Amino acid sequence: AKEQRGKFGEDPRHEQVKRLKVETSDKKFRWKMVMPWSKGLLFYDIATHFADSVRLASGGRLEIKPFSAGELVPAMQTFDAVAQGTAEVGHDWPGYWKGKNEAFVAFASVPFGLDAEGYNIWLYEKGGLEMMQELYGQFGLHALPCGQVGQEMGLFSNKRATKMEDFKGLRVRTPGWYMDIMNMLGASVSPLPGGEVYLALERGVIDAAEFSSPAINYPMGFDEVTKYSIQPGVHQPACQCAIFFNKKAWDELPEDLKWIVRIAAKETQLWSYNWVNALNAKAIELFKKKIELVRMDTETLIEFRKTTKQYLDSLKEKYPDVKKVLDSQEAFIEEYAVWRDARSGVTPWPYETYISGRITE
Amino acid sequence: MANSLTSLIDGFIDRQGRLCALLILPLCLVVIYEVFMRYVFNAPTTWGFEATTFLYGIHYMLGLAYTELHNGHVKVDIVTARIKTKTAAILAIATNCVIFLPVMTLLTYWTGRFAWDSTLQMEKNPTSWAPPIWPIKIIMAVSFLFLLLQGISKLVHDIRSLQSMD
Amino acid sequence: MSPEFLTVAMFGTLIVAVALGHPLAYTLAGVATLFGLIDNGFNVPMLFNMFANNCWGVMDNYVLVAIPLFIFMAQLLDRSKVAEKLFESLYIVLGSLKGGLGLAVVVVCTVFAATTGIIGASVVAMGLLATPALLDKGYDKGLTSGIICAAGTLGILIPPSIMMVVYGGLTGLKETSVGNLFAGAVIPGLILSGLYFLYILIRCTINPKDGPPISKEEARKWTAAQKWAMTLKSLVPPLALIFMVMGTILGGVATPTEAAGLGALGAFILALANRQLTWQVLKEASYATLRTTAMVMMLFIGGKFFSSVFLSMGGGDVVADLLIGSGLSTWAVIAIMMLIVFIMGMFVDWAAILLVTVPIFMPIVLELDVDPLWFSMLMCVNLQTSFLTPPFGYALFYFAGVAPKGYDMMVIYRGILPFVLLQLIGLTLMALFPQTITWLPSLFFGS
Ligand code: NA
Ligand code: NA
Repeated sequence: AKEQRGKFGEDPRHEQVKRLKVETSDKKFRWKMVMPWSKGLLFYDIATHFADSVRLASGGRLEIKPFSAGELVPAMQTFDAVAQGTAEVGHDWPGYWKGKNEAFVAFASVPFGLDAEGYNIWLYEKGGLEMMQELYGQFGLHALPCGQVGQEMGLFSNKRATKMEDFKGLRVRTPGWYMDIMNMLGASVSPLPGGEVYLALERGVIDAAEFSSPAINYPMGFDEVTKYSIQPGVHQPACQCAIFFNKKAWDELPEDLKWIVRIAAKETQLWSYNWVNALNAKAIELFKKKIELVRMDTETLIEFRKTTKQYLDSLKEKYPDVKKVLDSQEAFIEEYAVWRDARSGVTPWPYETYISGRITE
Repeated sequence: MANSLTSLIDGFIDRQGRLCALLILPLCLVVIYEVFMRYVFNAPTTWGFEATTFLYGIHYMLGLAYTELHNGHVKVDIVTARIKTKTAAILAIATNCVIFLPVMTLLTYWTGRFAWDSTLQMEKNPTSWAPPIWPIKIIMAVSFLFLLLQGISKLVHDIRSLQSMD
Repeated sequence: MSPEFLTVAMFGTLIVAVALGHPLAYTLAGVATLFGLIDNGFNVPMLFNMFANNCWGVMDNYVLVAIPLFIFMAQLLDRSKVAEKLFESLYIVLGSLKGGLGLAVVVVCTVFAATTGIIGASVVAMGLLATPALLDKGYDKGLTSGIICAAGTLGILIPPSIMMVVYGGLTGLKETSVGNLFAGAVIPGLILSGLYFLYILIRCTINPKDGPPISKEEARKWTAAQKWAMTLKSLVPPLALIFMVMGTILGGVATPTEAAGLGALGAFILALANRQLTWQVLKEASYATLRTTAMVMMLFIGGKFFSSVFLSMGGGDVVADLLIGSGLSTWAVIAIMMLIVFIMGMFVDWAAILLVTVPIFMPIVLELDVDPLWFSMLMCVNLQTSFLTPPFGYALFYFAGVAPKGYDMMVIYRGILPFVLLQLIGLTLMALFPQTITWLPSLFFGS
């Protein structure tokens, strides 16, 4: 007998909203938002976009005033400042709070981990958001995904490195997990503070450094002081940002404003991806005039992937929270692979590129 | 009574200040070592930059009270230099009570809370070396405590010298 | 209360409070506390958490590590007697010119400015060394104090300089990185030094009474070859030191912070080579370093409190609206900013001025599409004047502290005036010809 089939999915929010009595509150809120971003970074615009959306949608009932890095508190004090109530809102790249809990990095970007599509599905549909809120919750914060800029660019380098042996002894500046991985791969990694990178590259203190996605990198001018860009940016297949609120402040928000905030965060997540990636193509076009984009060869990528797994496994052993989050992400990657595989082959390349057979993936 | 207390504070601050003044030597050494290892051996350390920053932070923070003891914090004395010593002494006591004491008391307490939160989390630096930073935050709070003590000692000195003018 | 009112009230309170003679750093923190509480409805935890965060941010700032290192370097250098040797030889080489000893002071100070990141050391050293020599030859008292104070202050402008370290640490912009600021300051520093040089030469040629040459007999004691040999020999140590600091930055060996450490090592070696270094000397240098470092850093902390409260209550927007919104031209806005800094410089210390004004001015400058490096350098040249302008001028006080008996403060004030005017002329030149600032950075760093 044929099996009975109902509708394949449903929007769980609909039931929730049906039962909800939403009333327009007339209380006004004026909040401060701090962030690790200076005004010159596109991340600042992403945080501001969120604040604008909230203001528009709430008709000015919730005004969030953005303060760039250092205006109220230093960049790296964003987290503490919101946890302690100095500001009600913070915007971040969660990986900065690695020192509080190693698992924050997994919500920001994982080498060879989730891409933008992956983060969106995992966060919103596969329990990622709940894990994220649990982690921030431990520090008295309520968090939402808010800003996704996609894949980052690989290393800006003065040495052409595409094969495994090219990376041996390469003097690299990169922070966080990737720093350890590069060290395991034989590079000579220096955790130079961010402000020193440009001068250090230009004067040859280091050979190579990475910063962010193309459009965000462009104003930093690293292409002026290097010869190559080594692709792909395996260290960050996606760069996920978050908005987070002091729990006490969040709880004081009336229900309608909470929904406005949630929807604005999601809108920012969508907008930021489109906005930055449209700019990325332009930036790459400009970069190509100054530097040569080279690709690591396949064997090297496979080596990188193996070493990364080895490193991430060792982290999982050390930190239960990291294990929980990475296991969930990896399970999703496994489960989603069938669909990735089935659908591959129709990526929208230009006609000539496609029929040349050069790239069909 | 007050006499022995202030000389106790002054003596202690002077000694801890002289001791931490010598931190400038390891600070130089770490910086030079880092340059040497990177430039000569192409082997930068994973800890050089952070160790440098920690040493610098501890060095000047623990020096705040010492500098206060030696009257080293710059002030604008265009007015005080032109008024009677007695008026100047009263003014010094008043500004100490109105500006210094309340601000430093609150700062000591709140940097203490800040260090306490960090200690409960056993907070580390978000880097590859990942050294614990809660001890440095404790030193920050302790430095303000020392500065506060030194300010109280100065207040007692000023009151005493005002009394001796009568 | 409106942000406009609070902005005016906060600055007004600061001016009054500063005059009370309480240490500047505490006063900044106190005014910040008062207005922070008024603005946030007396929420003490909220305000002091922000302060605690700011304190940690200052402690956790790698760029600022250069400050104690440059101060230590200057302390060691001061004890190495290198400046004395250079002055002794230039005394002989330039002494027979009208105003020649004054010119020798300017040259020594310019060379030493390139080896030390602070002032104080040079003013004190030259004050002790050159004042008796100049007065002995009959130099005008005002001119003598003016030369030593003005030339001694070049150390804060000609790189390396902790003023630029502080500036770079405050802005965090690529254009105003410490390396760029160092490169940008070279020519402005030389312009000022050149203006002093010309002024002394012209004034003493017109009026040799103000700066007579040394006697013929004294000048004849040495042959030209001897003179040159002495000068070259005494120039080696400072040139080596310049190489240790600026050479390692430009040569890709070290970051500016690390170069400061290498400079300290260089000064250590020089002191050792001149047999001036004992454990006692090293200890004294360390104590003096800590006192100066802690003083600068406490100001940094107080200044951070002040600017964070000021920006938090919307003061930045008020100033920006006032300057940009009123339809003034870019030049007028910059002129107003320069005037504000100049006037503040009469009363307040350079670090406090930087910490209060830079967070307010830089966003305006960026919005006006002004080259941030050019503007920053105008700020630095302007701030160099603050050491010299009465009534509160560091250099003048340092000089008064070591000057021979009978130096009235009014003589020192009078003596410095022509040099302040020269600085303003220099500032105008740099404003009109931005290449004087931007050319070297673009040559070195391609930006
Ligand atoms: Na200098
Ligand atoms: Na002045």
